[in-house]
Formats: sequence, C-alpha cells, structure tokens
Amino acid sequence: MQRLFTVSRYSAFSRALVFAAMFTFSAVYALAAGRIVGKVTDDDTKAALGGVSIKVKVGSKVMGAFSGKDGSYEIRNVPAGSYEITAAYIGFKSQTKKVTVTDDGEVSANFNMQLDLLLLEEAVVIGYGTKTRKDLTGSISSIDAKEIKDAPLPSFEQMLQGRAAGVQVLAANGMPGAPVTVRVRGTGSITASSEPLYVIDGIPMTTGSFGANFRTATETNALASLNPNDIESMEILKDADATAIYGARGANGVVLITTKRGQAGTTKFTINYMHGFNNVSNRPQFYDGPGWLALWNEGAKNDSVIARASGRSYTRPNLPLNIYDPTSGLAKRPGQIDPANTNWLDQVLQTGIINQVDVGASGGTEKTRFYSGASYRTETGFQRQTSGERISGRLNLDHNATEDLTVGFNVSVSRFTTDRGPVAWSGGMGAAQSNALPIFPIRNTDGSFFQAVSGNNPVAQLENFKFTGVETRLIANGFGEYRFNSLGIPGLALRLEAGIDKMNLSESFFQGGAIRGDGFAFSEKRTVDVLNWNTNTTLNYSAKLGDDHAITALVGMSVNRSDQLDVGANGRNFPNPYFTNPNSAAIRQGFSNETGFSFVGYFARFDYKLMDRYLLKASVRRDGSSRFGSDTRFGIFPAIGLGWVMSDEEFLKGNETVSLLKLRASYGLTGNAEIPNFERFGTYFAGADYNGQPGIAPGRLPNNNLGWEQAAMLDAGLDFAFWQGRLSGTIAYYNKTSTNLLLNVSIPSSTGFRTILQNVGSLNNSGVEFSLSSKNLVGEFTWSTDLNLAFNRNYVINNAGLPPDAVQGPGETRLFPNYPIGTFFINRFARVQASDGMVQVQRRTPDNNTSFNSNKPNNRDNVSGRFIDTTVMVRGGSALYYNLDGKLTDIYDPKDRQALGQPYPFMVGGITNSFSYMGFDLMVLVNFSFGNSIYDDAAKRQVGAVGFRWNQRVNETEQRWRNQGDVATVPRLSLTENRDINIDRWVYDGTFVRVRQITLGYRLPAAALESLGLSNLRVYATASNPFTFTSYPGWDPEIQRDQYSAQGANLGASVTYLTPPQARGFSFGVNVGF
Amino acid sequence: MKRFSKFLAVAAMTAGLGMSSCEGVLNILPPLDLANEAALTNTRGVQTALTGAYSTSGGLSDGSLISGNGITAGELWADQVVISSPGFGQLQIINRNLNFFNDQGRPIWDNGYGIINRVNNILDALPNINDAEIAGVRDGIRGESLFLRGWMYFEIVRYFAQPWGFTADNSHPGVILRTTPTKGTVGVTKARSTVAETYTQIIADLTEAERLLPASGSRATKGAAAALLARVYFQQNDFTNAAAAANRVISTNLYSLNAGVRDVFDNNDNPEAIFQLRSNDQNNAAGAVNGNFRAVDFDAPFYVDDAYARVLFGSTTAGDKRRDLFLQRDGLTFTTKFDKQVMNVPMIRYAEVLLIRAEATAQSNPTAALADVNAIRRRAGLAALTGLTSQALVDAIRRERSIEFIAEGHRYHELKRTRQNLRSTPWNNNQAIFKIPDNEVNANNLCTQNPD
Repeated sequence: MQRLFTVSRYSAFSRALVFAAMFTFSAVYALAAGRIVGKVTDDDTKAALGGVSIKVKVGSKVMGAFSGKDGSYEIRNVPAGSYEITAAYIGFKSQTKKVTVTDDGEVSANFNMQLDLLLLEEAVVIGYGTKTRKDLTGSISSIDAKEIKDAPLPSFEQMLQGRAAGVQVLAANGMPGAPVTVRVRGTGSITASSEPLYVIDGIPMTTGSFGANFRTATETNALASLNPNDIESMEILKDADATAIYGARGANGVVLITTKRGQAGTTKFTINYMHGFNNVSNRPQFYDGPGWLALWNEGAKNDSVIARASGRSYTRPNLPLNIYDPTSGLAKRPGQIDPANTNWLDQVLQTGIINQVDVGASGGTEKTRFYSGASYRTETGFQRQTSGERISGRLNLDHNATEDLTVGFNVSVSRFTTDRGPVAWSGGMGAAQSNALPIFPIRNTDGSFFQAVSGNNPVAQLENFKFTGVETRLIANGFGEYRFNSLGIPGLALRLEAGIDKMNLSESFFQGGAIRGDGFAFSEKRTVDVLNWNTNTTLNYSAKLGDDHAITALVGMSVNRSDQLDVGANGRNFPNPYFTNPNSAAIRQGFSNETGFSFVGYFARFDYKLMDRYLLKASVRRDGSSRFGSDTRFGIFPAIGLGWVMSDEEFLKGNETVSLLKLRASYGLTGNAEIPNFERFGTYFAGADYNGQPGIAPGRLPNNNLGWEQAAMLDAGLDFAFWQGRLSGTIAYYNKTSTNLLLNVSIPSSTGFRTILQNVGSLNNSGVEFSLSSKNLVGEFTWSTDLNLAFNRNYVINNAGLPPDAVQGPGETRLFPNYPIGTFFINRFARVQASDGMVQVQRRTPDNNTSFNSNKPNNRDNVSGRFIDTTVMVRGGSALYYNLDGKLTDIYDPKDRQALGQPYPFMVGGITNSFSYMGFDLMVLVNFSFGNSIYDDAAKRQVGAVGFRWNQRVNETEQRWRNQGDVATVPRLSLTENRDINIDRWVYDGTFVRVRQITLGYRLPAAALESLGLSNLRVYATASNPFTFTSYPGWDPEIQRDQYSAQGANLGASVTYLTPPQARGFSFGVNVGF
Repeated sequence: MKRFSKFLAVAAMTAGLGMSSCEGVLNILPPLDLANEAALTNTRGVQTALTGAYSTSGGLSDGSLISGNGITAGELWADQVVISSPGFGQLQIINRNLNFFNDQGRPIWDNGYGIINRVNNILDALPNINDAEIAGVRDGIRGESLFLRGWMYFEIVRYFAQPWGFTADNSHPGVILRTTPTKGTVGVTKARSTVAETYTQIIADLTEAERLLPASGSRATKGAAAALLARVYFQQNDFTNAAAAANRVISTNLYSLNAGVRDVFDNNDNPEAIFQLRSNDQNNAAGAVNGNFRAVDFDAPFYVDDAYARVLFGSTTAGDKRRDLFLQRDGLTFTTKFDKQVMNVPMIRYAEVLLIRAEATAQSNPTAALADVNAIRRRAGLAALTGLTSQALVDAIRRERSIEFIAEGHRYHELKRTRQNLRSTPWNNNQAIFKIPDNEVNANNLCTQNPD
C-alpha cells in the first residue's frame, strides 16, 4: 500500500475507479414467478406517458421497468407475494399501489399520473449534492432548461435573464460572443470581479475574457463556446447558506449547471432546427449631410454674434478634413472636396442571420445510460464583420457497475469561431455615429477610400480589418460513486470527481496598409491556452434515526488549479498582400505571458431535520489559494441555516388553502478570491533595461496579508404555496456586507512606491426578492404566470479615505462612502439662459490644494476658494451650472463636480406568461428595470455639440436654443466653445420595460404524431426584444459598456459610450422527437 | 469485509493524497517576475538592478525625469522657454498657481524616489554578496548607486524645497532623506530633513561616489561625480569647493570641448559629454526631450521665448555659431539640439564645468576665468573677451552660460542661485517651487507641505 500513496493524483483516481469496479455484484434474478403489467397515463392530457420509472421492492432488491411510448410497462419474474409498486416521473407526483403477485399470474397496475404543482419533492442541485426543495434552508433559484427553449440566445448566461429574482444579467451588446455580466444580489466588489462562480457538473469553469483588444473589438466570453442546449437545469445559489460550501469563491453567488443525462428506456432522439435574423433593437436618428452642415452654419453664426457683441473679430473655422463649405461664401481652395451625404450607419449595419441545428439522443438500460448532443450554430451580427460559429458535441455516460457503484463520464468538445470587427468608439458603428461625419464621402473621386488612415472612414476600416478568434474547448470529467449498502452502511456514499477544462483561444488579426499610418500592413497571431483541472472527493452519509430525526452529513475536499500561457507574434511591412503571417514581415516582434492559480478546500456540511419540519443546516469550508499571502493562506467560511415548515405543524396540516408555509433564515461568511494571481508577492520586474543591457527593478511591495474579500450575508425567507400549489412563491430578505475589499491604498511615494493593494474597502448590498408562480388556469386551456421582482440597495461603506479620482470607473464613475458604487462624479447643469441679460451668479477665487473629504463629496468645504456673489452678463443660449455650494454659476469648473445619479435600478424583474391550448403554446417574457440613471458619456458630443465635429443626434439637438427668448434644454450651437464637459444634462432615466421574448408554438396532436412515428413535432416562432418602453433617448437603455477590467464592470453599471445596443430578432424553428 | 477494507484503503488514499499534495498545489511563483528575496542575492542580481536604476522604466533615463520634466518644468518657470499649448500642470507653473496635483512635479518626486529606493536596495544588499564575481566590481556598484542617490536628492531638493540660502542657516524644509530600502508598509512615514541636511547627504554621497567610481566607462564615472559635485557646490555658491571639483574634472584630461557646437548632440561618444543618457533602438532615453523640442518637421510644443530669441539672433551675437542650434519658422524659434529621435542625451557636459570654474574663480583669478569663458566663446566663433574683472567678468560669464544652455534645464536653478526673478516672480517665492505631491502628504502625516 505504501506505493499507492506515492502515485500521482490522476492515477490514484483511476485506481479508485478500478477498485470500485471490482466490487461487482453478480446480478441476482429470482426464478420465474409472476409478472406485473400496466399502463401509465397523464391525468392532465389523458395521453400515454412514456419513460415513467416503475419500481417494486422485492426483499433487498429493487425490480423495475420504464413505461414505453404507449405508456405500457411489464415487470417479469416477480416472486409471488404482496408488494408496493411505485411509479415516479419528474414533474409528477409519485404514486404507490399495492399488488399481489401469484405464481405464473399477471397482475395489472395502471397509473394515472398527476402533475406535481408544488414540486416540493423536486431535487435541487446544491454544492456537492442534491436536496429536496422542501428541505432547503438557503436561497436557491432553479431554472429548468425546458422553460427557456426557443430563444436564439448566443450564450447560456442569457437564459437566466429575467427569470430568477435577484439575478441581473446584462449582455454587453447584441453581437455574437459578446460578454455577459451577471450579478447575483448586487455588485459585491470594487476592483475584483463580481461575477458568480460557474460550476458545470461539479467542475469550476474557466470564465472571463481572454481575447486581445484590437481597435475596440468587443471582449470575448469564454462561456460562449458552450452549447446551451446541453443544459438540463441551472441553480443559482444566492445566499451564504448555499454558497459557503464554495468558501473563498462563493461570495458572488454560484451558478451550478447540470447537463442532460440519459434515462433508461427506449432511445429518444431530438432534432431542433432554428433560423432567425436580427437587427439593432433601436436606432436613434442622426443628422444627414445637409442637416449637419446647417448645424455648423448655425454654430458659426452664433459664434460671430457673440464675438461681435464683445468686440472681438471672428474667423469661421474650416470644415474638418478639407471639406469645402458651400455656405461659407468663401471660394473653394485647391484640393477641397464637396461635402457628401453619407449615412455611415447604413454602411456598417446589416441584418444578422442565425442558423442553429441541434441533434440529441438519449437512452440506455438500467445499467448504462447515455446522453449525446451535437449542435451547430452560425450567426452574423447586426454589424458588418461580426459573426460567430459554434460547433459542439457532448457525451454523458452513467453506468451502474454494481448495485452500489455508479460511474460516469462527461465529455464536451466545442469550437467557437468569432469574427470581431471594431464596434466601439474607434471603428464600426462607434465611428459611424461619432467622427465619421455625414459630409464625408466614402471614396475619393479616384476610387480610393477617403481618409482611410484617419479612422474617420468606418467602411475603409472594416474593409481592411480582419480579426478572428477560434476558441476550442474540451471539458471532460468523470465520477465514481460508491454506496456502502452492501457493506452494511446504508446511507453512506463516497464520491470521487475529477475533471479538466482545457481551453485554447487562437486569434488572428490583420490590418491592411491602407488604414495604417505607416502604410504597412500589420498582422498579429496570438494563442492562449488555459488548462484548469479539479478534483472533488466527498463522503456523504444520510440516515433517519427513528421517525423524527433525519441527518445528512458531508465531508470532502476539493483541489483546483488553472494555468495559462499566451504566446504571440506580430509583424508589419509585408512583401505583398499575399503574405499575412507575422513571420513573413520585415519587422517582427514576439511576446508571451504566463499565469496561474490554485485552490485547495476542505469542507463539511451537516443537515438535521426534526419531525420533518424543523430544519438545521451547518456548513464550513477551509479554503486556501495560491493568491493569498503567506500569513492568510487559509480562510474559514462557515454558515448556518434554519428552517421551519409551518404547514406541517398540526394547526396547518391538511389545510385546504395553505399547502406550504416555510420560514427560513441563514447567516454565513463567504469569500471572493478573484484577486490578482501574484499580487501578494513583492517582486522585481524584468525589462528595466538601459542601453541594451537587461535590468530589473522593484515592482511591488509584498503583502503577506493579502487575502480574499469577505462577504457576511444574512438571509431570511418565506416560501409559500396555496391551493395545492396553484399559487406559490418566495419572499426573501438579504443583507450582505462585503469587507476586506481590495483597493490600491496610497503609501508615501518617497518610499519608491505609490500604492499597495490591500484588503480595506467595504460595501453593502441589501434587498428584498419576491417571486410568485401562479397556475391561473389549468385544464384544457392553461395559463401560468411567473413573476420575479428584486429590490437591491447598494452603498459603499468604506473607501479607505481615497480621494475621488483614485478609483475611477468608465464615464466619470467613482466611489464615495454612503453612495452606490459607481456614482457619477460630474457637474450639475442648471439651465440654458433664454435671453441676453444680467444674472446673479456665484464665482470663486482661485484655490490651491484641497484635501477632499470623500465622506462629503458635495460639501462646499471641498474647495478652498472664497465664494463671491456677483452679477454678470449672460448671453442667450449659454449654459448655467450649479456650483458645489448649490448656487447658480456661469463657470464650468471641474472642482464643482458632485456625486449624483443612481447607477442601479431600485427594482428589476421579469414576468413570464405561458398559455397552452390544444397543441398551441404561447410564452411572453417581459423584463423591467426601474429607477436607475444612465450617464451617456457620448451625448455630450452627440447633442448640440457640432463644434466637436461629431455626428449629432436629432431628437435632442432639435431642442436647442436658437433665438433670443427661446426656452431650451440644449445650449446654443457653437464651433469654438468647449461643450465637451461632463454634466448631469447627460444623465437620463434608465427605466425600461422590455418584452424580451414572445414564442408561439404548435405541437402536433398525439394521434397525428403516432401515425408519423414521432413522439414530438413542434413548430414555433419567436420574437426577441420586439418592444421596449423607455424614455431614454439613446440607443438602448439595457447597457453594459464593454469593459476590460473587473473594476470597470463594477463601477460602470449604468454608463454608455457609443455602446452597441442589444439585438432585436425574429426566429422560427422546429422541434422533432422520436 | 475484505471489499470494505479495500474501499477504506481507497478512501484513505484519496484523502491522504489530497492532504499531502495541497500545499504543493498552492505554491505558484510569478512566472514573469522575481520575488524580492531572490532578486539581489548575487553579483548578477545587483548589477542588473543597477541597470534598472538607469533604465527608461522609472530609472534615470525615464522620460519624466531629468531629461523630461526635469528640463521643461524649470524652463517654464524661468524666462527662456515657452510652451504653445500647456497642460494643466504646465499652466500651474506658468500662472504661478501650484497645487499638489501638479503632474509636472509628481514624476520628478515619484521617479526620483523610485531610483533612490532602487539604489538603496543595492546598497543594502551589497555587503552580503560574497560570490566570486563581486571581486573588483563591488566598489563600482556602490559608487554608481551613491552617484544616482546624490543626484536624485539634488534634483528633488531643487524642485520641492526653497533654494539654498533661503534661510541663513538653511534650516528650512528640504527633502525626506531615505537611505535604507523600503521593504514593507510599516513605519514608512517620515519627516522632511532641512535643506542643510539634504545638501550634506548629497555631498557625502557624491564625494564617496567620486572616490569609488572608475575613471572611465559608459555610465557614472569619477569625472561625472566630480562634475556633479561642482554643480552642487556651485548651487550653494561655494566657489572654493566648486572650483576644486571642476579642477578635478578638468585635470583628468579625459574631457574637452568639441570642435563644433552641435557635436555633443550629434555624436554618441564625444569628449565633451561627461555624462549622457545612452540610447539605442530598444531603450531610447531621448523620447521625451525629442518630443518636447524636436522641430525639424513640425512645430515642437516648446520654443524659445521671444525675448531670448532676440538676444540669440540679435546683433551682439552676430556670428555666434550656436545660432545653428536653433531654427526660426513662422516667427517662432525652436531649438534643434534634440532633433535626433534616438540619441544620447548629454546631461553633464564639459562646457558647464568650464563655466562653473570660470565664475567660481572670477574674483580670485580673473585671468584663468577669462581663459575658461573664452574657450566657450572661441568654439562659438565669437571674439575673446579681454580685460574684464570682478562683476563685469561675472556678468559676462553668466551671459555666456545663459546662451550656451538654452533648453537644457539649467536656467531655473541659475536664476535661483543668483537670486534673480523668475520672470516677475521672486527667486524665493512660494510659487517658484512645486508642492509636495498629494500622494505623499496624504499618506505621510509627518511630511509638511510647502506653503502657498
């Protein structure tokens, strides 16, 4: 045995499986006796119900069969005697009947299965196990994949959108492979990721964006290569009771994904085909060429009036890029080009097309079961040069080696290819609505691109730009579970799991010489390899002690390691256009990067149930990580949960109205370990070179105390169901305080260092979640409604006293105590002066150093200058502001910035209505978000800011000041005055109600199916995002400005800057089963 | 029971393996960086760390330090150079409205102290290195480290403290003196020493550096340390020591004036360059200075103030070959000293040593002083000065200096040394120095701020 202890982990695991397989029990079959036959029907539809498990316990062993397509079943060789026979099927109430079998006799037992509306006995996947819903003490939202079919969603995270209370899902945009931000009960970090942990079949996944950022292509999403169709169910673990078992990685919530598994019985085949197309969800109108020129003229006219009034001379500026201005009255200079009228958005937008086909087969015997699925999907985005192609296959196997030993193996292989054109500010539709002016032509008269190099021509950019990524991914995991029944310890099970997640992303980037300043074509190839492996070992024991006590105990350990290697090369100046590999270039450069992390966790969980209605759960995990400093190597994450099923008390038992009433509460600590991999080390970096000699220099101070961010979470909930589950739901309250948040804390720079990353910040999320599920109509015509609402309040408790600009998010978002994370820090706009006149304003003497009190960001003491009340001449159309003292001022001064805005909605939710009648089904999903404000960072340049030389948005620019006396909301146009300032004029109400999905389907009746030899044939049509109700005047109120950092995503919740909108689409498809 | 015992063995094995291997799994070293403890344990380590102190990444040749802001900040305060479109920090200098967010001063402070910490680490590690390679290089490494530390303190004290002579005993606040490396965040707050103490430290460092450094080499040398010492003493108006230090440079006979005025900016190795920031394609020390002044193909942001352009191109300087170092276009005068995109940047040149010695000996030995200044004038194609003594001689030397070093970052310090106004701002005005950067005063409660 000594030798065994020295073998590697992998071989130890395989040996374990071999050992386990050795405990094969010879199957024992009794001699011929009698048989049981019967038919199973669905009480609701009266149709035959196949796949129902029928079991009869004969002595110590269980005999059984599955009902066939026609609902009939047969169990042979049942020894004579009286038995209890049980029929069970997911979603239906189990039924037990008594039968007496005689020698050579046939006894009949028919089952008329009734839908289980309550689903109390439904198994819910929890960390390292499953549990019946009724016994849960924590907050877990379950999503059944059946509920979320038919939508042409690019990645599975979006399946969560609007369906689980307290889970906010935001896709960065409607492009293929776009990243998705998921927040479970609010943003819980400042600089570290707030994304939940994704665990697929027990194995934590590699997530995030590994793609390079070239010319503002969108980020990538490592999870986009996974096929949503393979998913059976998703559980979102929300509170500490549920997530503490994931220790240092549980604080942001955990998404447990269970893939489909085969069931014994006839092999079932499914084929789904879907075809759809999509477009931008909304498109604001921009001025065309003549319209833009008219704005320019008006700006020039206003400027000249102001100049004349103050006795200055005025010179009208030339139009950008040597465009001739026919309205200027000036003669055309040599080389000047007549203004064009180009609709650049038309040039870069297109109708995207989606095609998807899925093929699945599942089945097997009692001993061996399988699920296999293959999927192929192609999509083109609504902008040119964006597309995705996914091909994936999966095989899940389960094998009962013996009565007591189950082994299984899952493997998934996928490839996801994306074409990522530039979409944001410097290209594509970003450029088309910003600096690519409608007066610019696409091509010069000689046919060459106009201004190809300058970035002012998105068409030239797109034509000369190719950026593809190929993500190849292999996810494989195996498990063995041994139950100690035969060894006389029923209820004890040992489970071993091991898995790998191997991801490779190969990117290829090419820019033609035509769009590059140096005139040389540029090419870069890059490959990223991430190998992530994980093992879980658990020992689980459950027992019922007498009638009143039930316990479940779990101990286990988990090891996880991820290693990443990037290698790349680029080159420029190629001999001719045929050559595009960097190796063929005259100027070449190589680069590489390497990183990795690991976790080791030990955990234990104890569940105690008294008299089937008093629940106690305690769990603890001790987690260590390579990321934690030497003095904080391991953290302890305990949680405790209590539950009381009131409806099982004498006073409610059997109550006609109240079917379930359960009170539960939990408290626990969890961690967020998404901290930088090597920040704990004090290090010297290489590359501090001088004159060709290699040098090193101190880069960082060590932080031996660097550790996880910690969340302490209190959760209390009430689960209820009335009228046998016709109406059911949950109300939950939570309060989550996140402490030890990582911030770069200032240290005196005379030490040679400016900052050090320390666990110092804290913030709080608290809220109420409400979900309600109602079966409004049952019977032939069914109507059900699912509603979820979440109210979350987020505020920063401690920002380590850092000055406002020390922690910045995109679009002027900052961190202030007692304000939500990502509060806007901008100036307050007051009004537009209607007519020339004297106005009482406040000005300030120049001030020098200020020590800013971030606890009081809007306090006049934050500026040291003296406030002076004065009366000044203000011209009509000028903007007036409020200063830090709340007084009107005519001077825009960044020192008057104030914390304002509400970056988070006070309420988000979704409502799903499902109807079915005869073979028709209709599903309508509506999402809504109330109360957040959006800071549109581009509006300052797109609304009444023609002097910035950008495209101008029609809807608001039309509200500008034009003549003396105009009461306007947008200042006068000007070509010279600086309008590129951050003011709350560009803060908008982000409230929206969006019809996210409408699906209408028709399923052929059973008789017709039978004649076709099919078990299912359904056709459907889906509209995605067909209607949106909002007052937001920009592209789309549902925004997540694409971010390249966790901090950006945490702070930039409600900021947009030329961010592409979500997609609106229509698709239709067919589901076939046989 | 046999099967059960086998299974227990499996379970025990699994658990055992997990426990035993976990600590190993947790130990991942940063692949791209080197842990502090392992960095300076041998000769190669301290040598590469010393290279790091010269590097373009936060080292001496970083574009935000002596060749970048170290030149432009001073020139903006002084009267010879102006900027076309100033940033907010430059505007604060021009408007004499400094605050502690100033982005022109901060890099000098941060990177200056960064270099000081880099060399303090080397000085700390050096005595413990006893491998075979250390023999023969230990003194040089120490000398270079002290040279860099002395220089950085000199740079910082002149920008962040009132000048030498502001108080009679120079007891006004100088810089925070740190002579040991920063190893952690505990106990890092420290008060400013006085200007007198700061200069004592600078002179001690440079004096020892001069003793330890090699006579020649591509980095710091004995001559460079002596020349820098001459500059330090000269800033104190300590003419005796300044002249002595200058004499030590001159008597090495390693340095001389180039034949042409442009040679020191055009040739990588030339006898006039006592210390230069060296450049090659990968590590270009000239990036900042080139970006600031390069005017050969478009208008540089910095150009010569019109008043000085008139001096330079006026009749009194007719025939001055140094006009070739300037370019007039559209009424603006740009310097072409730094027109090469990749060039060694001369930071201490022989002409400066000569002019220091000239002024330092003008009273005591006017003949020798005249010879020194005339060497500069001869090279510029100007007639030799004759018969000048006392203040007239001093004035002539100062005038020569003002022309010779336009846009090389000397003027600000010269005006303060000679107690002249910086344009209209008195030499000892509170607005003539930077504020201590926000990061320092916010995190270091012992550090006093310069008054408004």
